[in-house]
Formats: sequence, structure tokens, C-alpha cells
Amino acid sequence: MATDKNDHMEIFLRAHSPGGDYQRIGLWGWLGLYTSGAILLFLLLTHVGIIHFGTYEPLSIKTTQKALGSPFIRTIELSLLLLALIHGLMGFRRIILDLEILQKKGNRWLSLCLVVLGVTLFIWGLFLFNGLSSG
Amino acid sequence: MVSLHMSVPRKKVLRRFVERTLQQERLGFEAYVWAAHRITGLLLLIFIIFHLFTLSSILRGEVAYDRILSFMESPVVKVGEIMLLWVVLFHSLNGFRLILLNLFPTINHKRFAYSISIMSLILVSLSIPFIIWI
Repeated sequence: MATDKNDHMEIFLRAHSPGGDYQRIGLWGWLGLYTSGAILLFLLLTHVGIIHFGTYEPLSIKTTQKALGSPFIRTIELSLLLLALIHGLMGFRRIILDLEILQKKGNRWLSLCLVVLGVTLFIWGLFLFNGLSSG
Repeated sequence: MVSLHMSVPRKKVLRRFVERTLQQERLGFEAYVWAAHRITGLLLLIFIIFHLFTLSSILRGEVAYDRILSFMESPVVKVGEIMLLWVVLFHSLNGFRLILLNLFPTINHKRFAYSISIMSLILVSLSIPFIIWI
């Protein structure tokens, strides 16, 4: 049992161990995943709060427009989109890297593709945002 | 502490998890939480894209947008939202735990994991009356 405990500690606990994750993913990885995750927690609570408790009318385009008229809600929603995309795509990259099915060149291509995907989704989100707030 | 990490290979974590699970090895509580964190993360990533997709009905006009919104009131979507809430709760609480473990290295991992899991059970059960009310 003792060896089993050490064994699973060796592999999995170290993945998120004291400094272990920092060692694995580096400064930018740590900042990108962990700090964005911490901020996302607050943004998500605000987002859900606004949508579920901000209005008692049935949801429609008018309530959306009214909500997005406020600069506070605009800021919340845009930063939520940006941070969620960063966090999600970095996490996805981390999963693929942990699988180790790619070589160094493949990893670079993966990063490039994810950056392109993230930027595309963010610009798409900006379009939707524009349509939702002024449409 | 330092010697502990130095002896540990930095990568191949996921591959070894899959291999060992296929060999029916018992890996322990935190290993499964570790895997569940990734699975829920993937689900949430899929959800973001799906969410943007449903919102993009605004590009097809306000009528289409309102139709999507009324579809969101249907019971099937409500059940999906409850499951989404649980996924988010799990992912965020476990993420919170990981941040604390990274910031305060001397915490007893196992006991901390159990306490967080009990806390999340309480939170999930607290969320049920809310869900019924909504």
C-alpha cells in the first residue's frame, strides 16, 4: 500500500505539486492558466448573476440590448470572453502536450493553430457583441 | 521538496494515466480528480463554442434570436444547464484547490482534497433548491 501511495503521488500529485505545475508549464503557462482561472471564477459568477437575477422579464433581444447598454456589463462580458478563450485553449494545449503524441515541430503548429482559433473566436465574439448591443 | 520534484518526469502524465487505468491499477482519489478536471475542462471548452454559436443567431435577425431564447426555456435545455452548473462547480472548486496547493506547498494534499470534496458536495446539494426554484 505504501509503495502504491508513493507511486500515485509520484505521477499525479507532482503534476499539481508544490512548484510542480510551475516547473512543468513555466511562468507564462502558470500565469495564463492559474491567474486567468482565478479571475474567471469572479467573472463567471457576475455573468450568471446578471443573466439569472438581473431581470424578471422573459429574456428577449430587448433585455439583452438593455443589459449591454451598461459599460460595466460590457466590460465583464468582453473580459469573460477573452479570458475564457485563453484559459480554455491553453488548457486544451496542455492536454495535448501531456499526451505526447506530437514532436517539437507539431507542438509549435498546435500552438499556432490554437492562437489562430482563439483570435478567430474572439473576433467572431466581437461581431456578435456588436450585433447584440446595437442590433 | 526540491529533490522530490527533480526525481519526477515532467511529462507523459496523461499517457501514463491512461495506460495504468487500462491495466486496472488503482491510482487513488486525486488521480481521478485530476482526470475529471481535464474532462470537465474539455466539456466547458465545447460549451463556449456552442454558446457563441447559439448567440450567433443574432446575425440572422432579431426574430431568430428570440426563437433561440425561447428554445432555451425548454426543459431539455434546463436539465443541460443544471449539468453545466455542476460541471462548472467541479471545475472551479478543483481549480481553486489547485491554486491553493500551488501557492501553499505544505498543505496535506490528501486531507485537503477530501475537505474540498466535502465542501463541493455541500455546494452541489445547496444548488438543488435553487435549481428547483428557477
